[in-house]
Amino acid sequence: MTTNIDALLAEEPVKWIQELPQYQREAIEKLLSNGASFDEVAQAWLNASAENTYRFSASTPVGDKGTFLENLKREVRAFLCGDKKYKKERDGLFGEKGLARTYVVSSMAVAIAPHLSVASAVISPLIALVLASVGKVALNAWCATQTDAQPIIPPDAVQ
Amino acid sequence: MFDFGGISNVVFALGRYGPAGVQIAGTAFALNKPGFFATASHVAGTDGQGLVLAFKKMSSLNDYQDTGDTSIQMFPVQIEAVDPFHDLAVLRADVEAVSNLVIGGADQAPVGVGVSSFGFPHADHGRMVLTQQDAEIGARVLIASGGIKARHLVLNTQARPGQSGSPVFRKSDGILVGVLVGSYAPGGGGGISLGGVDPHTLHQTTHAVSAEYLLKMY
Repeated sequence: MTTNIDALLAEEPVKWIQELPQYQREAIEKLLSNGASFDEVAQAWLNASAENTYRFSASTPVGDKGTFLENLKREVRAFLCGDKKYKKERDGLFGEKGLARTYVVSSMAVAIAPHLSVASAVISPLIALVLASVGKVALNAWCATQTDAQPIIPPDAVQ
Repeated sequence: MFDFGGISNVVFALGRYGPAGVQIAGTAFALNKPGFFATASHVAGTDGQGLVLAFKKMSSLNDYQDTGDTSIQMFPVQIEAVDPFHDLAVLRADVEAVSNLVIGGADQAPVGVGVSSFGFPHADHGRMVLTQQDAEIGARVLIASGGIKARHLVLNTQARPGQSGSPVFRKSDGILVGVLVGSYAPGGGGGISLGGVDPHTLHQTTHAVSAEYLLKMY
């Protein structure tokens, strides 16, 4: 079941970034080329704010960005490692033949966004960065190292 | 000078619909593709739930806008694309609204050029008056955000909450050169508030990000 996603994970992690839309890719690649890690870039994406500039929005910011990335990672792990709340979306995605990275990222963003009360467009690049940070490793092996991950249950074993 | 007579059909207030009604967060404007709109990303926020574009029926900007009339019309929008490094967001709605916007950028706005912005100042107090502000470009600056430097324009005017997301046009030909995002404040301000006003923002150094960054977002 995880063969298709394993094939993508076996390739260079930076490919997750290279297939993002140009306006996202350029900024992320610039930060990576300056030596930032995937995690640091994700945090920069969340915390970005023009220096010495007071924003003239009439509303207050939503959410705590300090914990947001950890919460997103937890949801990505839940999706990838078999949490039942993502069963339908995961089975649908992993059952696809010829998975494309853009499809994986957008599908995961759409599935995870409601659980974090955010728009999927906001977290798409963050999911690509988290997937890149997984590195070259088989999904089952990665999930086995994740402390808060749910065990992977083969879809045909779940009634 | 460019005729901005139809601007009230293009510029909207962006708000969030909730149990208490619509809370206006800032300004948005129609792009040159049906159903697409732009604003500052910090105005759109991260949650697409309940986002609406609000407006009042106007025949032109010269109408007398009734400040006692709290009724508004609105339609829902979703967040389509977000670029927090440049503080821009593209929104999408199931409407046919479109503008004949020509998107330029800071390169088309040298120091001294006259510009007009259109937005909703004082929206934090519930005021919804579409307002034109004319100014000159005082400087062109590079401002870093999350490690990415971006082109910004300094407008020689004072702005207020609700104006983030306002389109900034070159007065001579109506080319979009920037999107208003805030004002200079040491450390980003927010440290002092007197009656809801940060005194660090009481000056005529308003920041607008170059509109060129919108071009790759939709």
